[in-house]
Amino acid sequence: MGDKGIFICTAELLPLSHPTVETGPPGPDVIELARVVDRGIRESHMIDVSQLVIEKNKSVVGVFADNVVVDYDGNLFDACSYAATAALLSSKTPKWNWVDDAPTLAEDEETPVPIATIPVSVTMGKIGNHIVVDPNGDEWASMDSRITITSDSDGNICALQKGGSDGFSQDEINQCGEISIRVGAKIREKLKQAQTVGQ
Amino acid sequence: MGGRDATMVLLDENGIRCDGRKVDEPRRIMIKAGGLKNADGSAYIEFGDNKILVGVFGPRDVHPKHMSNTDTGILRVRYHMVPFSVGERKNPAPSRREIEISKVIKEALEPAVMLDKFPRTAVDVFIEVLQADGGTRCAALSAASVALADAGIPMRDMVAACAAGKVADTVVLDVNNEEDQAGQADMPIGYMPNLEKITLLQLDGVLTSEEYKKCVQVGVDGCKIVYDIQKKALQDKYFGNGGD
Repeated sequence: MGDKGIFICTAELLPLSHPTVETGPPGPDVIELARVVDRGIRESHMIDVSQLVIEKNKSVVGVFADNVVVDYDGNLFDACSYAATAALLSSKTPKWNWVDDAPTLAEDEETPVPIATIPVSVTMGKIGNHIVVDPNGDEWASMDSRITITSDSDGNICALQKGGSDGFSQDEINQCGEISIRVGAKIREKLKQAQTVGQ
Repeated sequence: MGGRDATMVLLDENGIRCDGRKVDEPRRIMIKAGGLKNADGSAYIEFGDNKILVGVFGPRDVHPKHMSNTDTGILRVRYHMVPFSVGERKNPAPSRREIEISKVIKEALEPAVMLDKFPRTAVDVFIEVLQADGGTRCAALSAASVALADAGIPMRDMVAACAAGKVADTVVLDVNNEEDQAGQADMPIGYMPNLEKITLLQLDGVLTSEEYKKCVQVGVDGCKIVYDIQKKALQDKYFGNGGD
């Protein structure tokens, strides 16, 4: 398995972000958040991990995207996902070379993270029979169920997670898929600005 | 989790998959309602090579007490894999994956159960995966629905679950472990056939928007197959000679 680099995306909620957040190990909500955000970026193959290899079967580069929520107003799925995506688009990683059987840092050399596509997650909440895009804190607290759909630059759907204690009809699921691609395309244009910052 | 390289023949030219199934054919499914003496309701499922046991307790007093709700009963779900359920020994402590699956299964069952008649109580669903072979969350959810019905919990409908996916550029029903590791997409679906409601839906892997719609359709059709087997399991226990 030494022909691919490592990518890990995390998310945590700080106690100062909301009065109900407590210290201690993460609960199911936060674990789900971190896993859904990670899955969206991972499954879209945004980062070409095959380019993160320093020496095959010997040494690879790891890329970490750590989200820290400092102030809460609903829909952390999208907030964390965009933050991580924008950070990845604008980051420069140190360059490593394989010298004398060991990874060696190349001084004053940086490379951008190898990007293959820009994933955009779109979270929709279902309140009664209405579907709202990007539920804010109040909507998040009162919605019946939610769905997070991530699409890539080609308009393909690459990750999805339903949550909340109600269901969706098959028509609603199809409708949400279309909304996520349409809304995602607009947000992708904003995320592309991050790429210019990094250059 | 795994790599996406396709060295194995996942789908041959006759449309036969690596385990001999057709594209729209689920694995062998066997469900038995009951079986556990101490639990209020239980079910055992064999879904291909998955073997899962589910026990339900409640409605009963809530511990710790602050978790209780004065308006309604609460549902608690624990999905757990025993150490010998997979090839490499699994640490018995609950992993982040198991915590997430517990949560999605809980949220998939919540629209089905009617706990408002049992305020201040909890219904506990304990899912133990004894042997895992891809698609455990769907098998677990299907068995949990039967176990809840077996426990006599009032329900609007049973949740049936089955995965759809994309393997060798083809949408297939019920993705197995090999197809999950080497395939292109996996979409577990939980569905209530009478209410026509999707209560569990996840996806990883890239699908075009047409494939996405087809995947949902194939998965829902698969759930209907599972639903018939769930009903038969309950009929066998309560109206047949399979009772205990």
